[in-house]
Amino acid sequence: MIEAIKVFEIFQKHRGNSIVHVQGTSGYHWNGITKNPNRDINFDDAMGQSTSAIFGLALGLENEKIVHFDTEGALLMNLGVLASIAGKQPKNFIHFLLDNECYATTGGQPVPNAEYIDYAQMAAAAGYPVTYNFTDLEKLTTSMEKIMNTKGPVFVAIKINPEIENLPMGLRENHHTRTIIQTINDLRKELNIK
Amino acid sequence: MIEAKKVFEAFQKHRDNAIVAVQGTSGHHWNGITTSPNRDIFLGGAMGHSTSAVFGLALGLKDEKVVHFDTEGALLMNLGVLASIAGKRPKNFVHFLLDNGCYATTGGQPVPNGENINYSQMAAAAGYKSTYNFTDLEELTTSMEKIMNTEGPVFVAIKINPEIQNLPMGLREKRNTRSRAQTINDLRKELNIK
Repeated sequence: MIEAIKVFEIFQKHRGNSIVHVQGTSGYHWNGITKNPNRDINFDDAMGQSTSAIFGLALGLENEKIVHFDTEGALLMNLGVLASIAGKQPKNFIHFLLDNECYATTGGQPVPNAEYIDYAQMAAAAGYPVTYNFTDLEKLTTSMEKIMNTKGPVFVAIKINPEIENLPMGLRENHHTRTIIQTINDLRKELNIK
Repeated sequence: MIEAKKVFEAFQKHRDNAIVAVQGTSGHHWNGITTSPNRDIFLGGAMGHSTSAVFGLALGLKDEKVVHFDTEGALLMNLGVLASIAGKRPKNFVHFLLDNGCYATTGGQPVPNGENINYSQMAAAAGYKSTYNFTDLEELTTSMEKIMNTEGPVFVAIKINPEIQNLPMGLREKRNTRSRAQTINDLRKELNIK
């Protein structure tokens, strides 16, 4: 098991110019680590469906590297998207999966069969040419550069420690500093899209 | 590639007392083959979600064998159900997948990455204990008895020839002889459920 914040710290070193989207509670750590927020995009945690949106971005922006930090609880809500992604083979798409085996945002309810599911094998079965599985921080650290230089679509499953939220939704700190519209507009400006 | 009709003929010999649900255009062949229609259930072709419903039936009717003939186009719409099924391990559930590589009912549009997806590998990755892949009728025929005697959940992927429909929906022959409510009521009567 790895701390989500460590995953993002390692990733930051090899981010390059990539466009980054993060999903779920674990994704909030990225806000404090990113050095290029204008190339971060926020789809407001639409579980499962943010994956489709960011995949669309990868198809549309062929010359940009697009990185999605997905979660297993979200991906399971739209798992068929693996087939859609594999079918299009976007070379510029890197799909991380932070797997904490539960729905941390809503109190830590277990994900069905969480301990036994092999998400990287699922991605391989869907047709991703390259897949990885990590449970160890050191191995992830030494592999990150290679992952970021691999031709996509790449799928990288990482087991992380859950950070369970139990405060009522309304009492929680808002982690987003910009709205969806703002992140999209900032990204358009960054990419000179009129 | 196998003809869907041949799959059902091979299955009928080993059906015994199983409760059977069929999905998709290929499933219509079952109407002419079943010899125990009161144990067939019709859930209206709800793509992806008939799988959840039949899985629920298997959980509720532990002493009955429940068989679902799914299609790949439908399953992809709710692929996460594989994890839910694997998590509950219903011993009485046999999950066939008739894979024709396309959406035959709506004119034969290709399923994303249809040729390269390995659905039984996905089911294994989700946690199904027993999975099969068939592309050959003879192998399927000789394995059917074993499949039907294997402790569930079992996943059986079968490549079939597409039978593409091009007539406008309104001009097609109606193949269901009973309504959904009727099949449910007939099944309840059959099982002595008041």
